Amino acid sequence: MKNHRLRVMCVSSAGGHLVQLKLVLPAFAEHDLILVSTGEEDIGGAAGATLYQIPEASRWSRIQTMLCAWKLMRLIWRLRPSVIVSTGAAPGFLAVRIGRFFGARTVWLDSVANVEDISLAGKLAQPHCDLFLTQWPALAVEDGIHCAGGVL
Amino acid sequence: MIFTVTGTQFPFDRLARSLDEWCLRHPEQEVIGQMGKHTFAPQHFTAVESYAPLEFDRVFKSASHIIAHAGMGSVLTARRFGTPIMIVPRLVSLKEHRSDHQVATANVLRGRPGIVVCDDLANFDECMDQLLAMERGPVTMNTAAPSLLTALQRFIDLGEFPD
Repeated sequence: MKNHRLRVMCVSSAGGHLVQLKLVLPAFAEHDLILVSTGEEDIGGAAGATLYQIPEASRWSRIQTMLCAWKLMRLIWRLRPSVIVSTGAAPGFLAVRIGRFFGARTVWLDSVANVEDISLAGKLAQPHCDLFLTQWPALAVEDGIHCAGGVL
Repeated sequence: MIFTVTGTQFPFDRLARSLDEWCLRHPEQEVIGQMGKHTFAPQHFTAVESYAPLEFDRVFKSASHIIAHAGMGSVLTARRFGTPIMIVPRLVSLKEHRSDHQVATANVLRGRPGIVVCDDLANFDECMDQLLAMERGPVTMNTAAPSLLTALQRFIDLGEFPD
């Protein structure tokens, strides 16, 4: 399957989640990269990626979350990525959920900030992920939670 | 120039106040802060609610030292530019965040080169002395651990994850 270009969609909230997502982008260098995030972000460090902006979602704002889900659904419907990768938080969970529905393989990389426990969004996303990674070996004890290193 | 970043999600007035008092006693220091939606208006340093991403990078890059909440975005960006950073964890008990994960983050970062952890703002002055005594490190190629990149690559290309 080498040299088989796939469409990889990476989704995260702005801020620390996006900083971490950018650090793993070299892993997808051989594929067509779509970067989806909240807030107005420059694509510095994500050369070659197509960039899309979505509204922020959170447990605390139902309308924002619905808007975010709607926008993600349209993007995923239109672009049909083969793989969805997220570092969180709520928008990443939505992307994983929707992506799975449309047949994408899904990968979650829990934020390095979650040292003592998997993030809430991560816990919600886990049943819908084909690969679920924490950045802390101590958290990779449960079945289906793996650790292969981190961004620190 | 010292650049202060406290994220744009919640205010962090406790840190802004300590810094403001410190600035009053250190008028020779130039301090700029991206403080988000703060309710406390600092008198002795320049506070901006939010910089556009490119401007943020420019200011961050030109800073000699960083003061930040214990968010990974700030820590990783400081590492990228080799800038010494002091981090102050936000506390749920003071309604500064939704969980105490910044305390855990601060604890795992304690003792790493280029990082000062200030858990208690009563020690703000000492922490600032420690921070300012640190020299800028090399600019690093900021990437994730090679093992993580390989694992992701293998999963995407071959659909497998070695257990």
